[in-house]
Formats: sequence, C-alpha cells, structure tokens
Amino acid sequence: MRHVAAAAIFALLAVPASAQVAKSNQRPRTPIDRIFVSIDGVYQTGGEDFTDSKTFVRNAEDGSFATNYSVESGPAFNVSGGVHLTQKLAVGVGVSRFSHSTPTSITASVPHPFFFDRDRALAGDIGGLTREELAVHVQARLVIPVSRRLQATVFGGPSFFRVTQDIVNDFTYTESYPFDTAALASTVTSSVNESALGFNVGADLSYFFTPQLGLGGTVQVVGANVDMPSAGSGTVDASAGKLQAGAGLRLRF
Amino acid sequence: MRRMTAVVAVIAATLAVSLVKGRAQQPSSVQISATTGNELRSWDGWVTQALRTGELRAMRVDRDPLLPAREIERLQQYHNGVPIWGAQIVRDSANGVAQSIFGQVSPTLTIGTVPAMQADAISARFAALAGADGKVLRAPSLTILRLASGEYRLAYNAVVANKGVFRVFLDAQTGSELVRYSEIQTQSAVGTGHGTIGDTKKMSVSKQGSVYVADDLMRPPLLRTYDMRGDPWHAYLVHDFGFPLFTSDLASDTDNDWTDSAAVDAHAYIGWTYDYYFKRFGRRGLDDHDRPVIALINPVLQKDAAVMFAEWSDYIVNASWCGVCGPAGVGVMLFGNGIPPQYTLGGQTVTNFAASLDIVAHELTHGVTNSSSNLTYQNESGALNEAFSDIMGTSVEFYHQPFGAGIGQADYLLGEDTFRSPAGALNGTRSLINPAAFGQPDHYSRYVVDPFDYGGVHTNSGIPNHAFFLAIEGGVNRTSGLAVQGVGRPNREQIEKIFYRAFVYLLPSDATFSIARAATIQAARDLYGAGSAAERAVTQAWTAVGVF
Repeated sequence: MRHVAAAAIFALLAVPASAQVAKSNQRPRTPIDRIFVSIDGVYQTGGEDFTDSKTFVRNAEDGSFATNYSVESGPAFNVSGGVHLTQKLAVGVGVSRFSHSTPTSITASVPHPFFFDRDRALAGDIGGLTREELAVHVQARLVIPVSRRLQATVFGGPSFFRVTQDIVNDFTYTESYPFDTAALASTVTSSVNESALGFNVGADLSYFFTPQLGLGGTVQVVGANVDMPSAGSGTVDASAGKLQAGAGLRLRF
Repeated sequence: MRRMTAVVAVIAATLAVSLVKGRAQQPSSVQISATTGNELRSWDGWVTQALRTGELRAMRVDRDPLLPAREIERLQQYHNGVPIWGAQIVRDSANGVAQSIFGQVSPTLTIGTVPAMQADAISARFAALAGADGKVLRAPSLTILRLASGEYRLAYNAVVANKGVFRVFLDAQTGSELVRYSEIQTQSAVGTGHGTIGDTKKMSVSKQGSVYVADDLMRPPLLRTYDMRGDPWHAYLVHDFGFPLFTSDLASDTDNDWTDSAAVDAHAYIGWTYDYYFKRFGRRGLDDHDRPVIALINPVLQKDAAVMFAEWSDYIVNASWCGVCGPAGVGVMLFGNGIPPQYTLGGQTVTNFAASLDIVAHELTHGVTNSSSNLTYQNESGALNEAFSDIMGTSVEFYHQPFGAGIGQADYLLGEDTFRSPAGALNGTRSLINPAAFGQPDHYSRYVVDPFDYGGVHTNSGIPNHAFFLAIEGGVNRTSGLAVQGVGRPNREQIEKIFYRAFVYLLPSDATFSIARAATIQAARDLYGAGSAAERAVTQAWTAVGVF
C-alpha cells in the first residue's frame, strides 16, 4: 500500500514541477520533450482463473466446497505521465484501474445425514462478484522518434497492485427427505484486499498532429502474483493484470 | 339397466351354486384367484353385487405408488351384519375395470348371529382369561370364526395380554375358548453370534438440553428408540400393558458419539428400513401414513442374561413386533441383547438382535403387513406373514449393504450378524437359498403342521422364502429338482416389487400359498407385462417349490 501511495504522489507532483522547469528555461524544444501525458482506454484480456476451497464438518462428516473464479476480459483505464531525462530516455508513472465481474462457479460435496460416504454433489454459478485491480506502474521509457510526428516508445518497470476481490465464504442449500440430493440455495460472500509487487512492460506508438497533441496506441503486459485470502485457511494463488491494449490521447508540454 | 341386473343375478346364481359346490368339496371357504377372462368377470360381477347387498363392505382403498392409476379395494365379508373373520376380497381395478381379484370368502352361511352371551358376561370372561396380572387390550367384538375343521361359530374376539399378547376367540353361545394366537410376531431365536459388528453408522437423533436422544427428527414419522436399561419389568409393562414412555426413557448419549451398540443398531437400522420402503416402493412407513415407529432396546442387559434367562428368554434371545402393544396400542418393536459370548445357544453365539439389519427390517415389515394385508398369524397365512418379513429383511440388506458373505454384508441368510456359528457352519437362523439348512421345508410337499408355532409359521416360511430366492437368482429346488431361470441379481428390484405389491396390496388376510402364487404372478404381469422375464421367473419359482 505504501508503494502505491508513493508512486501516485510522485505522479501528481511530476506534472507541475516539469511545467515550472519549462517556464523558467524558455527554450522552444524543451517543454515538448520534457513532459508527456498519456490517457488511454484499454482492454485487458482475461486473467488466469483461480480456485479456492474450504472444508467443513456437517452431519458428522467432512464436507467441502470449491469455488472457481473466472477473471474475464474487460475495459480498463490507464493514465500515465513522465518526464524526459534525455532526448530518448524518460521515466514515468502510470495508474491503471480494472474493474470487472468475476463469474464464479461453485461445487460442493455435502455429507448425507444418514449414511457415510454418500455425499451429495452441489453445483451452481454465482453472479455479481467483482474484482478491482488498481495498479501503479513505474516505468523507464526509451523514446524512439520514427519521424517528425511519429514516436515509438518501449517501457517497463515495477508495478504495485492492489486487488479487491469478492470471494465466497460459505453457502446454504436446500434438502428434504430422503436427503439424497441437495440444491444450492445461496452463498455468503465478502470482499478481500491484497497488495502485491509485479511488473509492467510494453510499447507505445504515438502520432502527433500538433507539437503538443497526438493520438497513440499502446500495448503492455502487466502482472503480479497475489496471495488471496482463502475462504478456508491460508491463501490461494491468484494473478493480477494481463495483456492490456488500447489507445488514447498523447500530450506533450 | 334391467338387462344388467339380470346378468348380475345370473352370475350370482351361478356363483352361489359354485360356492355351494365348493362348500361340498371344501366346506370351509372358497378361494379366489381370478386374474383373467370369464372367471375375473364373473367374480367382479359377484363382488359388485355383494357390495350392493352389504355382504361385502369396503375396509379401505389403497393406491400402490408403483401403479398409481390402480385402485385396490380391500373388502370384508359379512353375514347378517357380522364380519366373518379373515374373509376378505381384494379387487384391483384400473379405470373401474377389475384387473385381478383375490380372496378367501365363506359360502352362504346359515349360522345365527344373535349371541347367547351378553356383553357384560363376555367381558368378564375375557378379564378372567387375562387374570389379575393381565389386561384386555381391545374390547371384545362379535365375529364369525371359521375353525380349522371348517365349521363356523359365532364368537367374540379380543386381545388379551398375559405372559404374551394374544387374540382370543370365545364362543358367543357358550363362552368357551375357540382359538387363540399371538399378536406378537416374533423373530425366532435359534443360535448365537459374536456381538455387534463394530461398524460406524450415523444416528439421526435430537438434542434435548445437553443430551442427545434417539428421536429421529429427520425422517417423516415419529421414530424413537427407548432404552429399557436392563429392566425387563419396565419393558414388560410398556410392551404388554401400555405403560407410558417418557422422554427420559429415550436412548441417550451425552456427546453424540454413541457407544451403546443396541441403541445404535436399532435406531439406525429402523431408519434404513424406512428409507428402503420409501425409496423402493414409495411407501411411507408402516401404514403408508407414517405411523409412529417405536423400538424398545436393552430389556435385559447381556451381562444379566444368564441369570435372567429362565424368566425372560423372550426378552433376551428374540426380537418382536406387536402391532397392538405399547402405550395406546401404538405398536412396538423389541430387540433382545442376546447372551454373553462365552455361552452358546444351539451351537451358536447370540448377540444383540438389532445388530442384524435383516432382523430389524423383518420386525418392521411385520408392521407393514399388519397395516396392509394383515396376514393372519397362523397356518399358511402366518407363514406368508413370516416369509414376507424375511423377504423384505433380505431385500433391505441388499439395498444398503454390499453383497458378500461377511459380517455386515448382504446375503440370503437371516440374522447372520446376530447368530454366529463355529467356522465352517452357516451363520444366521434361516436361509432363503437352502431352507433345509435350518430345518425349514423348501417344498410344499414338506409342509409342516406345528401346533407350537401357530401351525409352523416360522417353519413353512421357508417355502415362499425359497421361491423368492429362486425368482431372483435362479437355480434348482433340491426337492423337486426343477430349475428356475431367475431374473438375475441386477434385476432383483423387479422381484422385490412384485412380492411387495402382492403381499401388501393383493393378498387377503387368510391367504394361502396358492393365492400368494397367483397374486405374485399377477403382480408380475401388472408391473412388467404378461410374458415378461419376471413373470416367468416367479411362475417357475412357485412351481419349483411345489405351490400351484
């Protein structure tokens, strides 16, 4: 969490500081080269599914349930900015936010009230669970001017992820005599938060219509391994981020 | 309408003649097994006419969940308004058309129906039979009784408890005792076993305060197991005299990890048996209306068995069902605890009777019979009553336990988890595979009349038992040498359903083996079609055991 906050502060402070430098130097090329901002709408490809499980005691026997969370593709929002250290080398900070539903399936094995080893199998799909990934990406950027208007950039660096995920803690079911079957009735869910350090790497191609304004497209891979709290005990391995591709405004000052 | 009346009149007249003829040849009663053609139509007409005249009156109408469109009427025959004991007709109809009629009716009677003994006098006579220590459990009622000789008598009958629970018939003219038979349908105790099998079962119980009690709240009926805690007098008073049972009498455990094997076995296995009837046949318990199921355990503790054996052997080496016993005549099962392992009985050790799933199911099935066909507990109908309990006991075992010859496995032996023999000898008390192994006949030609066992109800049950086995597994009857092509073990459900339908719905209370044959064949046709493998197997099986 501290990493994320520090990076965000750095990003906010970077723009006015650069502007002050531009004003004081009064050189025509410097403002354009020194500061840049990208505002992108991106599409994040689906992440890796992850599975959680929990055991419990019911009817004098161990039962269990497992949940499989699908992290689907969806839109994200990405803002980044930075400052050129040299004509071709820059540093920057990006913030991305991805929020999407996570279709979840549950399978459970519930012990029979009358007999050992005759578990009833339950299964169902759960809607309404969401995942939110907020990430701060610190980037070293190599800027390659292709022409006077066209600029390519490759970048990479560490990312700080904050993942908020709805998880299933428990479930209820309906049953009636002779109890040979049971049906999922409802689930009990909660939101858990976890932070993780990851990475980002990508490329950007921008076309500037004017010295300050352009459009660009970006492709980046962001990711981190997150130890999500389990509904049972311990944690489960999950991943955050994935391939992001999008386009947006390019600003230079 | 007039033509119809005329037809009925002709049929009735024809039947009356045949009945009279029947009486001349077989004066006691007329046996009906009508399943096809003119015979069925004739009897159907007669039944309809008899219902109009009041000679037959409806006792109840059942619907078999296996054939829910069918309507099964159980009809009682009357003579001048007095019921004739055991004279019943069972008519199975589909959309108002008779499919089969079974029965045992009396020919036209001339016996008077005005008793010389007045109600007060007959009550006093029954009270005298009960004695100071006994009790009359059911008020006397007037009936016409057919004696073994074929003669009919006007009689009063009542249930009397005194060192047993008996239905007693007194001559309504003289007050002399005519017939008595036990209302306690017992699992006969022959042999011994090695104790409860050491398995772990789930108990459906309830929590009361800090204690768990054997009161199954998950199954539909009231299903309770009461612990007599080694007090046979308590058991006796509850069982025979209807003394009340209290919550404190329920079998209990403090941590819900039950260690009293008698309580565990009885309580769990009763539940398993209820489950079998529900899942296999759609039946809801003893009477199909979730009649309460009450079990008494630990009437005599095994450690006290040697000392108490002479006086309380029925509470030690026996299990029983009594449909009119217990508080308010609710009906109770009782399971003895057997004898200490250092003792043997008939060369076998005998442990807790509830340790055998088939024994528990056997006793519960007596309750089913009691609430359905109510097969009279003597002679052939009594043997059919016993056989049906054995058959269902075995079937429950096969439903819940894996097939095999070991402890806790399904086989065709009765009580093998209670009665244990030395190595090399058969466990159990009866065998459906080879009834002769336990002294039972396997063929009608070997039918035994045993006056000490109500005509041999525990002996002759071997014949229908063996027919049931042959219909499933096939094989050769040892006496007749006739081979049977069974339906095979994977299809055993067919034979179970056939016997269930026949014994529960189609048999009259005084059924004979011959009627049972016809009824099971008819049930096979009803359920699986004429000419089906099941019908063939059932027909061959009865033929192989000499029942036609």
